[in-house]
Amino acid sequence: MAVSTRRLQKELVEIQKQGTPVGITLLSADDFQTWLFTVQVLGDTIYSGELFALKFRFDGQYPIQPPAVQFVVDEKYQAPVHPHVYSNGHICASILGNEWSPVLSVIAVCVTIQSMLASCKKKERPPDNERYVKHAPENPKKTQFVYHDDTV
Amino acid sequence: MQPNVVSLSESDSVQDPTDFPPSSIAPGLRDLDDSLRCPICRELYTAPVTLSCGHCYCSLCIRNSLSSKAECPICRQNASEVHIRKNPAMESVVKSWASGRDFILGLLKPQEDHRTSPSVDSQGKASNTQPDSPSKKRKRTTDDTLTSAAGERKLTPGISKAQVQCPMCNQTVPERTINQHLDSGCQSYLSEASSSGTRGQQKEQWSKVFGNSGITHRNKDKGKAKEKEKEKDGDPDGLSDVDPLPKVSYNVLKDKLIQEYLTEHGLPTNGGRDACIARHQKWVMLFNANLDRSPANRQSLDQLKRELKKWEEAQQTRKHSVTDVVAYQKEHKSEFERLKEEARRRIPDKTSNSAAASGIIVIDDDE
Ligand SMILES: [Zn+2]
Ligand SMILES: [Zn+2]
Ligand SMILES: [Zn+2]
Repeated sequence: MAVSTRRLQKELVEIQKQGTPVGITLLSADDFQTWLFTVQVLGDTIYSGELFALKFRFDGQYPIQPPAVQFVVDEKYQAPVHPHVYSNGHICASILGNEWSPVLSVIAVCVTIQSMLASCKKKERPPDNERYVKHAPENPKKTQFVYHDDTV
Repeated sequence: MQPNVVSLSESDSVQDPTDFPPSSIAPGLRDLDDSLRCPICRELYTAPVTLSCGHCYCSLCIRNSLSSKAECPICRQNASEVHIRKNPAMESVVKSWASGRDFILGLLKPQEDHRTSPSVDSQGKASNTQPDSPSKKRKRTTDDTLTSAAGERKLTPGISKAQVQCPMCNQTVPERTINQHLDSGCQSYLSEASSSGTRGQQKEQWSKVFGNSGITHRNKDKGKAKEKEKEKDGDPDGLSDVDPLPKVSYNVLKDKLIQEYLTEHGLPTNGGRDACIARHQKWVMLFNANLDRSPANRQSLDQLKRELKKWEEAQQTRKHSVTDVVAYQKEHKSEFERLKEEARRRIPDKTSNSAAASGIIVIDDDE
């Protein structure tokens, strides 16, 4: 069995045995290629009451390479309005790019993104949203993001 | 052929630190199991090495990681392959732990049965907040949990036909002979399955590499005495005073030279320049990582080549999936169903409800 599959298998068992952190729920993990989570920002934040869905896609390079992670945008879910989140769901977060480390995990990514939302004070899209969304590749990993700041 | 799915899934069973009860019940054991695991692959260390910062990984895992990013994955201190130092003390600790792990889990089981407190609550909370409060309502949960903590593990080796994956070499080994297998430095007591399973798809090029006798047969044909002898010197390929292979700058090399590098190690040269480079790169990694095991634990060159072949086949499956997505998904679906089924059996009902409520959204935006 591939290393990536075994690693994901362990993460899944851990999720099922230990549960997920508060505000994060496993929505589906039908295979070892795509997992979906819901994310809620708890407490008194500008996103209170909103529910988002995160989609993880894995290839055989995981965990050496990061998973492709984006917010789900469909008839049920929208991407949060946030300066680092494009309206197509793509996320500009260094942890998903050059700050990825193979000791991170799916849950660690969920928690990081949850706290990225929690610390946001003003709902706005990235300044280049329209231009980006028009030409964005389907897979956010194919985008070379210039990180807006180094706090995420 | 394995008789049924159940025994197959046992062979692949996911081991993780939560197999052990929390420290309120078995102090230290869960943490111990956790600290003997590589933070990259989360398996018990194979050929553990440390970087200059002191952080420890499987040799192969950190070599893979460094080839994509020159830093320690934990502390992000700059690092490269020259900083890799083997850690034989950790290696022998892991080896002992691997051979005693199931035994300890077995010992824990009857002890846990006397407990009435919730041992491993679904959220891992109950045990921390109120470790000693007995609760009849919890009883059932506890029993279920016990199955997950120590279930499906057999203390009596003689009767088990189950296959396990060797934590050192990742090959399939009959459960009852895993200790002997480990003692042999991963040289013998391999399952029939570990060689016959892939034989069908063997490419012509690769079958030349192995000839007609795989390692399994060689060992089987040998007399007991001879086998013992080989175990003693433990170094069939004379790897003990071999230097690691140097890194190669492929882009300045002619195709022919790359092929010669492969031939030199008895590796196939088919598949074009990129395939040859990838093959050689992986070979260097596997070869050097193997040297980070202590001599008695090293894999034979044959086993390394088998690893390389397995890796190459996995690469091809992935490429194949682009053209035949449906077949690929089907294949993985069944594997996944099996693993999921297994995971389910190992956990109390309540824990799985987050997963059970799954499958609502299907996002199909590929292509
Ligand atoms: Zn590892
Ligand atoms: Zn470090
Ligand atoms: Zn082995």
